[in-house]
Amino acid sequence: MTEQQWLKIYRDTVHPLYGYMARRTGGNRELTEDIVQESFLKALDGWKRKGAPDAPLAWLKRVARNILIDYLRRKRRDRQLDLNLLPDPGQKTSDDPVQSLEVFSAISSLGRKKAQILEAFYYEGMSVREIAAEMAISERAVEGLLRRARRSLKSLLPDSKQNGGHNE
Amino acid sequence: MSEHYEPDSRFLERLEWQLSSELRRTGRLRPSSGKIAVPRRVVTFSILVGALMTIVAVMKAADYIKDSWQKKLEIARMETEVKLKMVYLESTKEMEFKAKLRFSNGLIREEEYLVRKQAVDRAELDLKKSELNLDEVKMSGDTPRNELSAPLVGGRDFVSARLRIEKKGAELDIEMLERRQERFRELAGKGLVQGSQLEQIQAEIAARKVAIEKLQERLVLRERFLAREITAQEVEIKDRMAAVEGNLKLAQSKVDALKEQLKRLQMLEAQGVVSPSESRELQYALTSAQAELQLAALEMEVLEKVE
Repeated sequence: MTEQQWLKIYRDTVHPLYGYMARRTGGNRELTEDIVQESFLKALDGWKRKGAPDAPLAWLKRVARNILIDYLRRKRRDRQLDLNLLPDPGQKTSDDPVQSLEVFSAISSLGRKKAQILEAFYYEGMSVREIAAEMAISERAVEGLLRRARRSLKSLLPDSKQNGGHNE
Repeated sequence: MSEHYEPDSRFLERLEWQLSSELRRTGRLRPSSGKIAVPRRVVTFSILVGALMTIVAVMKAADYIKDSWQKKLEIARMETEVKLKMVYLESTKEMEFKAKLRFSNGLIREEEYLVRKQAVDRAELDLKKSELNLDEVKMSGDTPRNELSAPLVGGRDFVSARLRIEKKGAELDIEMLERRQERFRELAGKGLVQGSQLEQIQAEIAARKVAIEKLQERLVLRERFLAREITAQEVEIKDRMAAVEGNLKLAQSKVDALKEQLKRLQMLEAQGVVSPSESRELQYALTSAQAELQLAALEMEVLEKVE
């Protein structure tokens, strides 16, 4: 790959990748920038031999998501996400970085289908119809999966963080 | 708040510059394609090295002939193992069929029939695993590899296939244990079994669930490695960390359970119902479990530093 080809991919993907990550970190700029940077560096390394994949943005999103999950796992081990520092329920919006990270941490520990559907609905703002089309299942199946996924998520989160709602 | 979802222009410029520099740096390190004059000493040395390598190649060929016999023996052994497992599977299917008939005629309980059914599922998984191992040995000429960083063999991912079989096995175990748990609950309610036996089954179920989580994590790591998201070194470290996390969880729940038991036992000792030696024995078990927990925590610290 030439430098120009590489930079074209970078310019085409950096904005959507940044937005994708920022929604999951609740707009935490520092964390989002770190993850976006690390994702592109991994791409630089990973695409050296065989070139860029057919869907570079999908690859980058997957890598960025995994980097965030690894980060949250380390934090959980260090117990740095101190729930006692969170303010009272009802005063937080879904843009709160700490709350967003807690929610994403819980979502990422659900099974793949449940995590996928929750992220599509809440983070990407996709409608049930759009999700059904993407997952090649019926709308009714999507609604059922969403219900079960929300239930599973509720059981993982304390009451203060059970706020759904679309981001933007 | 929408500006938080847009990147800062300075960050974009900095990152673009960083990536361009990195690209140019790795481009400069690539070897040149032009002709280079080679000194005579280097040529002589190369010829000597070539001669040495030919001798080594001849020795390796002799080893290879011996190895290829060993490989044939190993393949023959594995083919026999597969045949034996096929025969075993057929016989478990026959027993399951007979048990189904007897259950439908009311001659045996449902549980007895389900045990036979599960034996068939287990035998199928066992056969699948042996067939996988045989295919891998035939294709690679080497013993089956289970490291997450092992390469694909002939385009096939044997590592993930074996992990999925293991996961299915653990799920079968949970099914059987949950049935047993139900049965024990009924019997415990009638006072026919001790509460501790039920606790033991619950602990076994919890352990199997942890094992399934671990297997699922390994499958995810393997996927990430094959997608070139992480390197071989990273995948091995993360795998080890996931294993240690699982050990930490198990060790912690073991310590918690032993503390509860010790509390209960000490109360009974105070009432003179049990002897001090029993609570001493439990105390030793608790100390040992705490040491295991500390060891797991230490290993996690070391791995985090390496990561």
